[in-house]
Amino acid sequence: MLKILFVKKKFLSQELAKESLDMVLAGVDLDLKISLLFMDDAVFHLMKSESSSAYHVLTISEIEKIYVAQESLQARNLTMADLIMPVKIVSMAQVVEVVSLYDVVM
Amino acid sequence: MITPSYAILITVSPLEKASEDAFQFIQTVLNQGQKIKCIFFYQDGVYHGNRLIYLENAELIERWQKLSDNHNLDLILCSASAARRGVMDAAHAAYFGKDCENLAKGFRIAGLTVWYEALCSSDELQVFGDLN
Repeated sequence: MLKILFVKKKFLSQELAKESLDMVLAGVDLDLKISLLFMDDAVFHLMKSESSSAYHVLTISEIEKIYVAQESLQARNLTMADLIMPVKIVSMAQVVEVVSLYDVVM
Repeated sequence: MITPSYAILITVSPLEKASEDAFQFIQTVLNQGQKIKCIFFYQDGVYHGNRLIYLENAELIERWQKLSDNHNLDLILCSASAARRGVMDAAHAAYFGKDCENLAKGFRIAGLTVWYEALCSSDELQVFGDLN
């Protein structure tokens, strides 16, 4: 079965955030192995304080793994404690390794 | 020699450079006798299927329809993206209570399941534009 990694980099409007999850959640519904990597401003979507974020649905979705780039968190003065759920924090150096684990990266 | 088959994802409007790149890539692939399983228009990519778009160079839109005719290719618009951007066939217009349809010839509207079926049965994925 295909292992798919979606890389999210932008902090989107509510409507586009919802849309950006369409393909992710459709894959989950089809029982595909779906993981997400958050980098740059996309990490804001995972903040507890962004209570209207469409991304909060991830806490109840069957996503395989959620990775967050350490440098992206640090640059925004965020830590794991600010996020809606436990995630795997990876350094930019490890990102290359993470990406290599997946058949499809988009 | 086994030639790879492609799933193509286009996320930009037909006005963008990446749309031109996509068209050229697809032509090259077809000329080389390789297979394209699916061309899926997602997010702003669905504007390719809006027949009301007016461009001085009408060819920018019409060439997609010709491509579909000549190679029997399915040009698929994501139904959720299309609804958000007002690209509708008669059935979707009726469903969403809209008074007209505007889907260009050669395109059809379908769900993401169709995309995943194509992706899972292709050897290569090629994305044109950013995926939000």
